Amino acid sequence: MEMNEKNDADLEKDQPSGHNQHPSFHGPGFSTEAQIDSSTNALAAMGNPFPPGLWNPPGQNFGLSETNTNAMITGHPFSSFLGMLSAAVPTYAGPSGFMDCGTGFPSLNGGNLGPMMDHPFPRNQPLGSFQNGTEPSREIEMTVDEGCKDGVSLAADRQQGDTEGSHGVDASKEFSKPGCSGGVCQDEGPSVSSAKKRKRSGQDRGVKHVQEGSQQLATVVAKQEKDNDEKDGPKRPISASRKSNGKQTEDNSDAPKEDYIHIRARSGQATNSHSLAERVRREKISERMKFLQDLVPGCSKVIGKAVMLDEIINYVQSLQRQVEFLSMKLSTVNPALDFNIERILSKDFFQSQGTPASSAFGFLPENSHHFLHQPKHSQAALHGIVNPTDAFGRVTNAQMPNNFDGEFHNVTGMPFSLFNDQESNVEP
Amino acid sequence: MGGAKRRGKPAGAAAAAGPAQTKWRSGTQERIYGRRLLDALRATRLPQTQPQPRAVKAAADSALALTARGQSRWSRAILLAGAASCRRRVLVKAGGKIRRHRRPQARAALEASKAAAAASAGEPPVLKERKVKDRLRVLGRLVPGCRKLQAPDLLEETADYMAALEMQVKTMRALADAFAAAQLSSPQPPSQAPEASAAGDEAEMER
Repeated sequence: MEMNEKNDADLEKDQPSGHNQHPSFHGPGFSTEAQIDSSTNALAAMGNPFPPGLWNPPGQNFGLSETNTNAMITGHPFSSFLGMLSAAVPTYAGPSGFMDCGTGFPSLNGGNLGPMMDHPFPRNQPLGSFQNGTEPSREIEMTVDEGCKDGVSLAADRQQGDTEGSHGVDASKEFSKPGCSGGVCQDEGPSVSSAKKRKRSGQDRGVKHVQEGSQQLATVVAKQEKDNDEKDGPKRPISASRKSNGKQTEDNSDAPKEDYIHIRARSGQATNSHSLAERVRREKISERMKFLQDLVPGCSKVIGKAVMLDEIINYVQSLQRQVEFLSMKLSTVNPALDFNIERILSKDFFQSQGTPASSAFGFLPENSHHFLHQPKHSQAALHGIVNPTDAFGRVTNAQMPNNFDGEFHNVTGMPFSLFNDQESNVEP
Repeated sequence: MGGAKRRGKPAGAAAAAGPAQTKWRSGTQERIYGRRLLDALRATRLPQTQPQPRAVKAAADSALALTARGQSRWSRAILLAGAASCRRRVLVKAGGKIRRHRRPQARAALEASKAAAAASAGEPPVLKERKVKDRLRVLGRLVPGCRKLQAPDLLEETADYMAALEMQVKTMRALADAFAAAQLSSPQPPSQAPEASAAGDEAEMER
């Protein structure tokens, strides 16, 4: 691929512009913006389990990257491009974008792109050209494939991130999944090997701690270097990587990177890349188990994955059973209602949403004023009172049946009705 | 189906951005879901047939998946399953149907694996791994659309699914109680008896 060849040639220089500009879809070798642009295509092509639409939230950043990358050509390539990416990355790391990307995981709220990392994105080879740069160790490393040790771009990215002080490369690294075929990575040459080393360390960093200090990064990097020496690959970049890692270390210690996500290689533990990756994976799993423990009531004292999973399964099954039971109950209740009752009911229902359901027994639904007399519903009643309850409630509720009657008559199936409803509904 | 599904997904950051817990426990989500559920229930009543609990449950689950805005794997699985079977008169969520059969199987499989693990004299670490793996498999079957998911993703989906289920139970219970109270207050003697018994049964169902 011409892009790859260019990267090979430019490995020793700061020439990211070339590969960065090509949004064409190549196999493993993607430019940063190519990845960003064609991430959706890549997802489809790579058989991504998640539909491309998943990446809609970050879509807004793509435009950013495109425009900035063009500007990069003329000006200093690295800083502008990486600066752009750094601007983009916070958005990626933003809770809104990613939490809604199917993660909703609390611990990852602090700008952690871990869950996103789990998507099989193609690796970003061209980032190998960033070797010279020292980016801040702000790597949002994904550990989807711990087995993939050929993170050319990842390793390179981390290095350059230190110097550049931008997190842009991290964004590209997000997309660069280490799953890229090893053969292609090896062809990169020196940048590949160094990238490999750094990528390994990066991927070991994993998703966990946003607040990890840069010193820890240095520790891991140092250990990674030792590991990398053992790996097969061209020896040429070793010295280069060491040097850059040294620089990287200094830069890391200078500026604490908040969003850097990496795993500290604990002393005394194996620092083999495999075990590090496994440890990252294990920590991810244990972190999520802890979160689930908080979610499941009465599981604070349970220790151990098996028992915990048992409790989780029990709880989920009981919840599903409850849903079934309630749906049965609702089905019996439904036919007995006419629209008048429904209107009153919907008014009461929406007003009492904030209060626990058990208190529903205590209120009379005939008149909304009755809510005032119920202490439990005092707060809910205030909601109703703030608006002109009767008028507003009755008007909206009166309109609702009419609208829905018209809509639902044409509806053949539930999903369609729900979808139509979504269109016409005004979300509160 | 694809179009409908795309509509369900937000173009950008959704309103509730945060951990699954707070997202699903916010009052806004409850209201959104409640409204959707109400409309869905009205839709189920249109055919003028005896509203089956399955249809109600399918409607409730589809509404829940819609409220999730397609951001989680299980919600997408539910929406796809619902859309696929929309032509059928009886709207049975495909995943739900299978789950109904599997749930007892899942429990049985879990216990069988437990017994097998206890019987075999393997090393503790291997045993524990197998137990954990079996349970993870069972969990994957429980959460819709997460059968072939690995551990970290599966646990994440489970967290989101659990929070969503809790909200669904809360909302449906409120709706059912409001219905019951409305019926109690209105002069409908025949319906009061089943309502009271249903309420009593549900109280027993409490964990």
